[in-house]
Amino acid sequence: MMTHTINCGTFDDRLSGYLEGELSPGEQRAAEAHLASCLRCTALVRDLDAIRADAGALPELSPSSDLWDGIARRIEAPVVPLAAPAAPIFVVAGERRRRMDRVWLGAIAAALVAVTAGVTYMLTIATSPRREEIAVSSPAVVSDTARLAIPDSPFPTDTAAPHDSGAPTPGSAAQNVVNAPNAPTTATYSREIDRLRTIFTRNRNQLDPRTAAIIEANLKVIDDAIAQSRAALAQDPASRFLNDQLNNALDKKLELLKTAALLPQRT
Amino acid sequence: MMVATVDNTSLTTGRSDAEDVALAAKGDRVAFERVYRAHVNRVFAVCARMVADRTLAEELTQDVFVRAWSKLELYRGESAFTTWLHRLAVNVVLNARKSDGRNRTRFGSEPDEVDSLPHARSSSWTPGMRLDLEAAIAGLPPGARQVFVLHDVEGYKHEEIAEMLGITAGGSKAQLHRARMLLREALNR
Amino acid sequence: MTGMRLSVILGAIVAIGVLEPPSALAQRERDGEREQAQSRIDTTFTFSRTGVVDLTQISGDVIVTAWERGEARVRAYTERGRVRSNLSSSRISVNVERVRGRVGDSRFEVSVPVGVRVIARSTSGDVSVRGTRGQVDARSTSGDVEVTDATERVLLESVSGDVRASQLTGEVRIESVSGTIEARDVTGDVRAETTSGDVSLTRATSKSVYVATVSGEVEYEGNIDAGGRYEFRAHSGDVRLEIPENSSAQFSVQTYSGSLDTEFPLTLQPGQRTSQRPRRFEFTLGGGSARVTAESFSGDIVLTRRARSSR
Repeated sequence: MMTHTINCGTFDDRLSGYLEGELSPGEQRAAEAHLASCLRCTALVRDLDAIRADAGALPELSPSSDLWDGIARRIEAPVVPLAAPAAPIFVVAGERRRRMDRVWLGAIAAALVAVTAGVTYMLTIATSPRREEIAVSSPAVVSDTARLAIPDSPFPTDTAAPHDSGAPTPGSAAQNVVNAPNAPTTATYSREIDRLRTIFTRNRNQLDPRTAAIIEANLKVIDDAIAQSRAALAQDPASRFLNDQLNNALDKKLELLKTAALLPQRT
Repeated sequence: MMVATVDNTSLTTGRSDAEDVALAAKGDRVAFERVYRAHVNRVFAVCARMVADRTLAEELTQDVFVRAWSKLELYRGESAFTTWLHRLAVNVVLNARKSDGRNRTRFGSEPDEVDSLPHARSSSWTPGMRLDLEAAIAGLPPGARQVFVLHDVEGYKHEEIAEMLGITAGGSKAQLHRARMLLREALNR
Repeated sequence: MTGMRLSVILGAIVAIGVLEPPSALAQRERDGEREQAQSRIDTTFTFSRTGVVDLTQISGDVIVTAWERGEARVRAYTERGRVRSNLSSSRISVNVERVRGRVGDSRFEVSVPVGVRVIARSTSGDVSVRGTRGQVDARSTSGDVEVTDATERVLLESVSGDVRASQLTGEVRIESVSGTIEARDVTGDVRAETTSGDVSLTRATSKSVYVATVSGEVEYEGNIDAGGRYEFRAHSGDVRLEIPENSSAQFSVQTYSGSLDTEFPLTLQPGQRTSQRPRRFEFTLGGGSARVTAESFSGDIVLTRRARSSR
């Protein structure tokens, strides 16, 4: 049996394979034979082996400070489920309060004027603060559609503000309403959106089906945008810019519904 | 060398790690904090060595636990929790946003900093410096460093590393060898 | 179509279902049932450079181009129903008359003198206005909006479509909900907002910029004018600003869980605590004459130097 002797250069080439145990039997023998008589390569192998062993024994490391707070804050964000198309909902979990800019949102609601089917009406704001906050774990529909008078008549100004909704009212959908300071304004948008949606649904079969489908699809796009803005606000409640975005999206929804409601008349 | 401890009993609470994990998976945040404390150093070590930037590693460590929190309900106990968490950490590190090569300074979280200048992203290795192993690893080029940390420090196999990094097993072996040779050179100065 | 032309020369037409120009009626009688199947306008007439064009489509595209002539050409077509138009030398107004059920294909193509003010809307079609060098109000719900060379007041909106604009001057306002906003070569005040799309504002020369998106990314490449005010806001997306090397501005940067990456060397103000969240960075470049606000919640803020060659 002849052992083919190799030099350092060849050993270097095969070193990786040697350390991985991947050499063929012949190559393995040659390598071992070389090591038996070569100080340079023996030192090399010993160093690399030591590095491997030391690496495996490296200790755990500690961060320079306690990272828990940062983590806790990020996992603590309240859960906001996607809203049903006409029913904006907040779900508050945990102790986190939402500081919505109540006055500011109220101003938007006050300025909301809708022209639908030739009828103009003013929406009023319920300015009394919300008296209770109910946390729910599943989305519920807030829909005042059942309470609305016939769509063509002036909007009733005494429609129940959210703080009345705790009491059971016949004809109203399950009122597990949440969300505190901006409740009046959201309810305002919600009522108007409901109203226009009713009109759209009623007139829908008079529209070109393709157009109707596109309007539906875009209403969904806007709903997604509303949900996104809400989710973002849940993380960053004091953000005026996010409030802006949310209101923009709600405005766009109204605008689209108005356009849709007027389509048959316009043409 | 991968330590797979399934049952870290906390001396203070008497509750085992497995129990805390189970509770945390159901949404118990207090239990999750205990899980965090039991595993943070290990996770941080992987992150710190793979990215060679302790500040970034702290951010990534947080990312790992935030991710773990949301994925915890998917953990079914098929592997040891430490293995599961470890893999998650490696994933987070590998997917972390890469610099596009421009010379930028990052302002991350610098807890004990008031008005000092930001760190450079990673320490550079200058031939001729005497270094200990930890620092030498930090000085490796990124590809070699990642493979070295995963293989020699954390104990993954080449096939696993190849899959994680999107390279071939042969490539992984080559990188490992290169890393070891560079480390040897650095340590022998 | 001679009857239509005649009416234009005489003045305003009112073409509603009730009252029709005699020859159009004659045309209908001649064609019998075909009148229901199609409707077309193709007419060219004198039109003022200070005129207004108001086009409303439902499912079709609206395409407006400009030329140097003192005339307007209106071509409108709808597969079902009729095109209703109101045409004078100072005002063009075209929309589609109601039809039961399917509307079918429809398209408006209008060429106008440079300088004219354009209002163009479609619900599902694309809206394109090019070269008018005047005020433009272009909106679509699901279609794309594409506008080039508009001035004074530019209002561009889409809900799910993209908005692409270039060479805009004056007061510019762009909104989309899920679409992307891309505006290039913009001079003048700009406000661009979308919810889930990206916003890209490049080659911008503006003293007042407001860009906001919730989940998209913000990209700005442009000048920082001394005395200008620039505001960039995102929630989960990154904010990337590429500004001149010698920008002079006071920066107010904030991110909750993202980071600030900067090519500009900068010193944090004394006493600044970067360990809290949200992370706030206040710093100054140059003389600090402009004001730049860049905020994201979970995205990064990235500040890079604009390469000289791009200007």
